[in-house]
Amino acid sequence: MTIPSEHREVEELLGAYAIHALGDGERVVVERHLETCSTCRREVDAHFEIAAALALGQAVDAPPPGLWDRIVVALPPDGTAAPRADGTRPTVPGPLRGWRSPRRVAAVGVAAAAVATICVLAVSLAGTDQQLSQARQDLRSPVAAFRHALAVPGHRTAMLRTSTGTDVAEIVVDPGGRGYLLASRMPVLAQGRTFQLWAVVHGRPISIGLFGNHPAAIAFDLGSASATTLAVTVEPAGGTQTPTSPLLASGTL
Amino acid sequence: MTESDDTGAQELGHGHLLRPANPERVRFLAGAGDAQLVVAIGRYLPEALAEVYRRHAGAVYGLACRVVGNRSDAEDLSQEIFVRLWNQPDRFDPARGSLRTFLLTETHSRSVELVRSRAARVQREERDARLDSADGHDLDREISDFIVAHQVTDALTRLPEEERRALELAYYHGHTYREVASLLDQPEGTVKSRIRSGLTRLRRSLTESGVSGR
Repeated sequence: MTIPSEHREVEELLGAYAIHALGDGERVVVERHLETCSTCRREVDAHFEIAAALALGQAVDAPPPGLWDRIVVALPPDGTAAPRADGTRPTVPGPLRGWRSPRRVAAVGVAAAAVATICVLAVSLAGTDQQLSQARQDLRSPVAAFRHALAVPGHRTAMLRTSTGTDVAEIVVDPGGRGYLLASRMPVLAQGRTFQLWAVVHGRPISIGLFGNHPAAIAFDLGSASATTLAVTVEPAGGTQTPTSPLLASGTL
Repeated sequence: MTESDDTGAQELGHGHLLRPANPERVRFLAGAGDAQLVVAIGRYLPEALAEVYRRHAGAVYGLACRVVGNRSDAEDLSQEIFVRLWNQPDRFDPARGSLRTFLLTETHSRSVELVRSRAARVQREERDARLDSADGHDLDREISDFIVAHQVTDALTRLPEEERRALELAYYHGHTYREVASLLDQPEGTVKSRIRSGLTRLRRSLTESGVSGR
C-alpha cells in the first residue's frame, strides 16, 4: 500500500518525470511508486501525451534519405528479433487470418515514403501448455497476451467487420476460451455509452462483456460457449441483457 | 507465400534477400490501428514497421534533432528507436496511450540521455551560453521556428511565463528540473511544481483546441 506522504511527494515529481527532467535517484523513486499507484500512472500517461504534442508542434521535415535503409540493415539478419537480455527470443505469434505465413527472410531499403519489402522466416510454432499459460497470465499487456494467444496451436481468430466492410477489431481466442480483442477503428463513444461484445450461440446472442467507450485492447472469457460468430453493439453504460441497437460489426471465428 | 514470390530476389551484402512488398498486406496495414501494427511487428512483418516509420519517422527525427542539436546524432537515435520497436514491440501498451506518444516519449528520453552524456555536455553549455546572453525573445523565436502547429504554439504562449520557461528548458534542452532551477535562479520546488502545472494547463488548452487525445 502506498503511504499518503509518499504519494504526495511523488505526485509533485510527475510532471518532471514525464519530460525526463529528474535525476536518477528521484526517477527510481517515482517508477517504484508507479508500480502500485494507478492514480499517478494515469497522470503520467496524460503528461506523456502532452509532451508528445509538444514534439509534434515542431517543424517536422521528412527524415533524411537513407535513414530507413540504415534501420533495415540494423534489423537482425534472419528477419526475427534480437534476443532479449536473458538470451530468449520473443514469442512468435501465428499468422493473421487471411495472410499467408511468412516463410523467407528478405529485407530492402527503399525511399522513406515507400513501404518495406522485407519478408520473414517461417517459424514453426511449437505449441505447448506453457505458452497457453503465459498467454493467460500476461494480462498486464493485452497486446502481449494477444500475441501469445496467436502462438497457441488451436487458436481461432475473427475480424470484426462493419456492414460496409470496414475492419474495426481483431479477435483471437485460445483453445481454453480466453479471448483478446484489439481495436483498430472503433469509434470513440460518448460518455454513458459502451461497446458490448456478444457471442451468437444457437442463434441467440449471449453477452460476453462490456469494454467501455474507447477500447484499445481487452481480454475476455468465451468459456466453453460453442460460438462461431461474435458481434459488437453500442449500449448504455452498464450494458444490456439483449442487444438494443443494430450490430456495429461482426465476425466469424 | 510460394517460391514464385521470391522471383527477382537478390542478395545484399548483409545477407538479406530483396523482394517486393506484399500489396495485400500493405493495403491492410495502411488502415491498421496502433495495436494491430504493433502485433504485426511482433509477428516480424516488416511492412508493419515500414508503416510505423511512414507515419512517425518525421516526428521522431524532428524531435531528436531539436533536443540533441545535430543531424548525425538524431539519425543514430531515430534508427535506434525503430530497431528497438522491432525487437521489443511488447513494450508498447495501447491501453496507456497512442503509438505516437510512445515513440516520442522514447525518443525524448534517449535524446535527453544523449544531451546529458559527457560528449554532449560541452556543446550544450555553449548553446546555453548563447541563450543566456540573449533576451527572452530569442528563446521565443527559436522555439517558434520549430513549433508550427498553431494550437501548440498558441497553447505554449498562453502559459504563464514562468511555466513556459521551465518547460522549454527541461523539454527542449534536456535539463533536469534542478538544473532549470539553477539556470532561472528559482527554488527547485517551485520549478518542479511549475513543470507539472504547465503540463496540466497545456493539456486543458490543447484538449479544447482538439490537439490532445488519442
